[in-house]
Amino acid sequence: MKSLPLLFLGIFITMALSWSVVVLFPHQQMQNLTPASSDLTDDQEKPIGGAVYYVDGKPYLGKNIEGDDTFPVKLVGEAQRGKLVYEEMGCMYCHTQQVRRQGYGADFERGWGERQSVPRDYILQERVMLGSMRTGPDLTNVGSRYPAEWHYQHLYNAQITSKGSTMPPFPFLFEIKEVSENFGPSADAVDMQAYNPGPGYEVVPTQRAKDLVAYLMNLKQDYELPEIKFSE
Amino acid sequence: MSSNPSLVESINPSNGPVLDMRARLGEVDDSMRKPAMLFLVSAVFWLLAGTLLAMVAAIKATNQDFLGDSEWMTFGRIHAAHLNTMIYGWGNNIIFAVAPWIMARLCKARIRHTNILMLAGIFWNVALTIGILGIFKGDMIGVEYLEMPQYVAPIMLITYALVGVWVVIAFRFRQSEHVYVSQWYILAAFFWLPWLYSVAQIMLVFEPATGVVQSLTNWWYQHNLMGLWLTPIALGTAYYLIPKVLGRPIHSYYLSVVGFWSLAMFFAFAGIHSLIGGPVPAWVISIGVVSSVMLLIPIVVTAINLHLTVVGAHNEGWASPTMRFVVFGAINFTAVGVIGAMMSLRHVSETTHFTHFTVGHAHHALYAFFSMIMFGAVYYMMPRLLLKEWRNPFLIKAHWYMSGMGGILMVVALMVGGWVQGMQMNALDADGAPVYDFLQIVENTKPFLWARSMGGLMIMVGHFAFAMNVFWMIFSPVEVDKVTEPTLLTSTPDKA
Amino acid sequence: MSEDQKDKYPPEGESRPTFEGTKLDDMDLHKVHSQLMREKEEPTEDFSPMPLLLVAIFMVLSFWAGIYLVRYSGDFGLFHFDETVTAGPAENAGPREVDMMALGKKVYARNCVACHQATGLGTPSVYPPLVESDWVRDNPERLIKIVLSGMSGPVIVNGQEYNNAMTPFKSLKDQHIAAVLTYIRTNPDWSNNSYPVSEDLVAEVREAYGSRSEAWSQAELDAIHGPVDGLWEPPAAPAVEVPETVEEVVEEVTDGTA
Repeated sequence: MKSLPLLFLGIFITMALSWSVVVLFPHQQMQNLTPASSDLTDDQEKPIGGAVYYVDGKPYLGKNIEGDDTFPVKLVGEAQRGKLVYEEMGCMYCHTQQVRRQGYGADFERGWGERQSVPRDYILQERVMLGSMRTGPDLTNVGSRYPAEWHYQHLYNAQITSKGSTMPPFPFLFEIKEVSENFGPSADAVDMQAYNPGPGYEVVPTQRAKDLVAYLMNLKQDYELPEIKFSE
Repeated sequence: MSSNPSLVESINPSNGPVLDMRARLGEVDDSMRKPAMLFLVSAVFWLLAGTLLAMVAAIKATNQDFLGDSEWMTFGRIHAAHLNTMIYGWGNNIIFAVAPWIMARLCKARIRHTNILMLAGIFWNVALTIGILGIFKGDMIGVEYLEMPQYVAPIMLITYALVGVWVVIAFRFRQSEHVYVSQWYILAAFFWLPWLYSVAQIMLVFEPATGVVQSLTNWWYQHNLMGLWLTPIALGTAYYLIPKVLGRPIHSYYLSVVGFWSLAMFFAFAGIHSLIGGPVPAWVISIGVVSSVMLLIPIVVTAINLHLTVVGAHNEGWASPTMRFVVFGAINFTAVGVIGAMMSLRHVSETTHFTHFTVGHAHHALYAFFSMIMFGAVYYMMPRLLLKEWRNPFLIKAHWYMSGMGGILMVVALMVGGWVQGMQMNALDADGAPVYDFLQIVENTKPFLWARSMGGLMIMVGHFAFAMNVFWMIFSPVEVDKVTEPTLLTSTPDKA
Repeated sequence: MSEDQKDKYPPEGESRPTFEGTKLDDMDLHKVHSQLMREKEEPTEDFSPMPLLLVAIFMVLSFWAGIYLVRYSGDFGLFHFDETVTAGPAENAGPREVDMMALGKKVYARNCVACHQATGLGTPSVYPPLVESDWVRDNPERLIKIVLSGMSGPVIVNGQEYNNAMTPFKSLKDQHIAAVLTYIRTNPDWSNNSYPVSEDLVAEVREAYGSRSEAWSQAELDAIHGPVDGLWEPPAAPAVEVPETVEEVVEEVTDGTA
């Protein structure tokens, strides 16, 4: 095999072919996906949410009823900022955001989701962080599982809510302040149980912590879509 | 050909082609000395930094309060810093040292204008430092393997390209008719990398694609970084060093061809096996699974080719530091490939996915295969660049045993621990409820993570031995008549 | 003196390079030779043919690959996620007989164990127990309200005070809420010995109170249902008048009282 041009051609083809098959073709399939509602009516001949969905070999066409909620929804405000905090803390190295189908693994039995995750769930996310490790539980539906206070406690020091966890503590996302003499404890202050600072002091989340918790509370795939219903 | 009398003719015009060839190699070594040493020394520094970060991360995995108060040292950032330091700091620098040297030797081409390569090296290291500091500071991008902030990406792409252009030029002006297998591998790797890197940066960082297409691109990039950049370079290096040290030909040219093209074809699609069970259509996953299993072809072919080259020369191999590291790496190439093919089957992936098993698999490939072969290359290359010999065989042995045993310990601990973790995650009782609480599973994996930390400690010791030896050689004065024998690890190598 | 000049006029006793382009002097030449001299030849390849067995193995692998790819990709469509189903989504099997206790146990494991623990004992002073609990034995409508809209503020359970927050679980289906409450109330291990909860009751409560977004407090619930005493009994079934004659049946039907 001596010829530089032929070698180059072969090398180029392997790269181009692989990129086309695993990136370009799926992109072609998915590029028209839009948020959709799981309720379907048969009264218009338009694909649902940008792609044609087949049932029993026939295209199942329908339209979203005016005023219906469509899913997924875009993150805004605090939750959008919170996603940046999630990124910069490297949360995705221990947590996934994808639920596998029922019968494959125990995602469903562990309460991580009512149904498997599908591509449409991620179309409005600027940065998709599916994750690849479950050192900690899956977070796809964590917004449905714990109240905000639980998250503040867990982030400050995971031992407060989950004894024996190896999740790192994030005390730098909080401030320890003196309880105001005039106004009393802050409304934002969180009771950190055994990790509370001494009397006269309170733990108050910084804006970054509030953003992050807002993001976590928004993590839900608790809606059905035309292509996937909740598992039994 | 230059019209000046060659070095050889000026010594003694009656010298034959053998000496001619040797002297030409000497010229090649001489021309590569400065850039290769710059990249090599950078690589060693980054290796030590990356190993230190690895130890911190490993300790944090079992003792989460270690350095817990510091935002810069939070586990997520240490993880990203370790990853980028090892791949772009150690991996790329050592490749830029070894691969152009091997290519130049095989092409019998003197590399000219090496100052540009030196400049590329300096820019590379500066960009990398800025990038790693950016990660610690919090500018990390949430894309695996591309965490370094956007502002360093263009610099890195340009420096890749510069080194790549030099390799291609060396190939273009090769002196020999026959093209050896290592040259295909190195050429291919240098062609693939800039495309991979630029496509990934564009589609993931600069103009992110929609939805899970990001994940598909990310895994295409990540796995191809391993399979179409690090792997071909390591294989090209092994294909050069094994026959070179032993003085035997590679067993079969035809097996080399099949191995090369099947690697190129199947590795490129295999990355999708990291999305098994994920929110992508089933057909993409099936393609990933199928190509990962078909990778058994290049694995088996390369294993046979290299094994039949080495067979019978074990004593000689054992005496040479280069051979120890390179053969160890080549054996692990077979192992990691077979395990990887198994892991891609959906039923196995059900257990191993998302566990420490995948971390073990990654380190198996990156350390026990790639890094060990690169260590072997350093032990061969440096004496020829600096015209000195290794000062201390004890340090080489320390490096060999510590890295070898530590690496195996780490990989086995992670794989067994990951398997246990996966089985426990999926275990359901008769009513269909999970048997193990999540926190119980965390507790149960800790002993394996402790074992991994032990392995990491051993590896760290090995790397310090390596670094000491490298700097000892660099700073020792040239002793003209003293040392002319190679530093071997056994006293008298018996010929078989 | 510049580098080039040094080449031409080296210091006393040292040799100068013999041609331009290399800086090797005679001593270096010796070293180059000593390392390079002991090196073996540059690598070459033999031309042993590829073993036929390998070719056979590759054929088998390719065959397997083809079958796997076709079998496990469904219709190669965007919406095909389950590789075990060969074409299209799984068909609806229609209404199934549901074991409420088993379903309830699953729903509990998925949603409640984080705070109330798998044992149902909760965490002392933090999360109240569901085992032998007066709240559990009380009016089921109270429990349904809590599940739908959550609870906060101080509560007294079995004489102990707790002050925490419970997440609302509005997104759970009526059937699932009924199942989990049935499990908690009638599970023999937890000794509540209470009564099951029906899906219809959940639907009723959801209709009346489901749109409420603030969490309930004990005071508000007590205002509707009275104080917690754990002694709730289902109301006795109302007496059904059995019509005597056909005329009475016709009358009832036309009057709309049937």
